[in-house]
Amino acid sequence: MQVTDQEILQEFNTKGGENTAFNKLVKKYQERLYWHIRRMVLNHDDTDDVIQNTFVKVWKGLPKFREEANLYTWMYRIATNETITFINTNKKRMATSMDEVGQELRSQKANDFFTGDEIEIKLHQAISTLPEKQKLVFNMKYFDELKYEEIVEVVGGTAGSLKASYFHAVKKIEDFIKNND
Amino acid sequence: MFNENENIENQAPNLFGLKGRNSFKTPKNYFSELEDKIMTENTSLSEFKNQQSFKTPEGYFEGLTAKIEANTSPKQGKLITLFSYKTLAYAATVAVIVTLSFFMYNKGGEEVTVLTNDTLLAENTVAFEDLTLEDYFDEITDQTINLDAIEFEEVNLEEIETDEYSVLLEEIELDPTTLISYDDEWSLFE
Repeated sequence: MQVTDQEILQEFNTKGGENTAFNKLVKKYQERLYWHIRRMVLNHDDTDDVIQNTFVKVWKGLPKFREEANLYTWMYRIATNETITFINTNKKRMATSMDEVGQELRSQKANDFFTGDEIEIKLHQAISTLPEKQKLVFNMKYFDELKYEEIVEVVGGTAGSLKASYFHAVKKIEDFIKNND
Repeated sequence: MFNENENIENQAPNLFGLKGRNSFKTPKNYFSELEDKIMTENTSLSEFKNQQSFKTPEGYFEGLTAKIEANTSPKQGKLITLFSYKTLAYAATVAVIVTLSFFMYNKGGEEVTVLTNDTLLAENTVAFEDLTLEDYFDEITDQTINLDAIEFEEVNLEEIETDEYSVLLEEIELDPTTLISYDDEWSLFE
């Protein structure tokens, strides 16, 4: 049975329990955070850098973490901020436009880092055309299936505005896939 | 047009047909290695935090206090050096600066007197109680005036307009260095 966030925090706050608690936290969330980052940066090596930076921040911030807050969305927010910072810092070499995303994914396909078909490449190309916040909302809702209230904790805003944003994103992507088939 | 009330998945079949697929791949054993990498990076420093690797002989600190007391002599008075080369050097420098300043200040044997308004007033004016009208005019003009020869008009001060008053003052030719105020001047006509 998987350990709960409260149990991890309790163990972390116990003297001598920091390392084992942190180990459990990494084991529990590393994949989810990895894929969240990967869908934004696309490249595995970049994702590897960002996720390590994320867990450094989590380790440093855990002693001050308020237990009434949601641990997962807190870590998600750190991962999101680290991803955005990474993208902004490396804008020049990163695949951000639709064409660059297509090129990147086809290149990864050649190296067995991406096994999706052309329609999946189109999906990611469509996602790359969305504004940054809308892209985040879409990814968290569509791929990670977070609730709107949880997404609010990560990107801010209201559940209503995020729902509207998600609907618009879905329409844009659906039209893109239909028109570029 | 999207209907928010209707099931979104029905409205975007192409998109939701792809749902659940994850075509991104990672290197073999990536996540197990990532766990180790993260743990090493974040926890290794904390392991050393409370370690003290330097060792001392057994009972060292207990004997240290006694050793220090034994090496110090309570009867020996504390020798305080009054003069040191450093202090003398500082004092000599200050003395030289003061001496040089004194000579530069008194250069050429000129006496410098600071003049205040009171000093100027005292040197350039005569006390009014000692001053006669003749003395006054002698003071402010170069000519010696025989007051008896002058016919003075009776002047009604209240009838004098401002401009006439100004003209009167101009005729008197006030010397600004005498430092007599207009009020004092005016009192002479009363």
